[in-house]
Amino acid sequence: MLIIKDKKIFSDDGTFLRVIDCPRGVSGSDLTQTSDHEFHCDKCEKQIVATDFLTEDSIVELITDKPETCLKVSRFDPLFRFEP
Amino acid sequence: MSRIPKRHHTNRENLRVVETVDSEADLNKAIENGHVTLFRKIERNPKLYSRCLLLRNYRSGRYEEVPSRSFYTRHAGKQEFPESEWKCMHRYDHYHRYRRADKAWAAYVLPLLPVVGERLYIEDIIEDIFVQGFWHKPISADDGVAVWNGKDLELDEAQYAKSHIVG
Repeated sequence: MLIIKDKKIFSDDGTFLRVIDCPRGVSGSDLTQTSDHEFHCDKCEKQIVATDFLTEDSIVELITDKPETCLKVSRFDPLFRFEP
Repeated sequence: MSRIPKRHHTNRENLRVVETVDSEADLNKAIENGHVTLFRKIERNPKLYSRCLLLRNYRSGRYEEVPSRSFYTRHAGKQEFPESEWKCMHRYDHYHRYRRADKAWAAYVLPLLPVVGERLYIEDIIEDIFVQGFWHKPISADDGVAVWNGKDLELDEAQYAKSHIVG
């Protein structure tokens, strides 16, 4: 389980992993799907990785190895807990 | 007044609640009690359909219901069901709004004396609103916030655009 609180992603033990906060305020409607798990951002021309089909280990690895990667996380994803 | 079952509540702003009824008895009772009521036809949203395939393995005879012959899952990765191994027994569209399958209408019952401009919480949305696709299936809205304009409820569909976080 990963936790998102105040636009920050934490691991289940509370370790801070990274910020998730698009400076351009991109939403789902600004993205064009290019594969099952990748999207193209129409505002900054970057590829965005959707976490829908990634395991927790894969997400943590991606965040650690490629911290510049933009993520798209669904609020319906049971892997994430959104805290107010 | 009977209520239709709902999956969850998210009345974070503690707004007054709009109830939903789908029988003439409940609707008439609400009117007799002085409530403003708003009738709605129930209409299906084409975005809430997803394609399904029922496949059968030639060798084992085992059935699998899948969204396509090739798709991803979180824990098993890419799944493939080639035509050489799996026969398509049935191809159909599944509708992803489970409530009111047998109903043609429902109605909103507003709290007493609604104020023009008041934000109200709808605990059980009648309209079939597409929120997002997740794991090959469309997800519909269960609840939401609307504004009373004196004649009707204005539902802000932008609230559902926040169903993803990007960054």
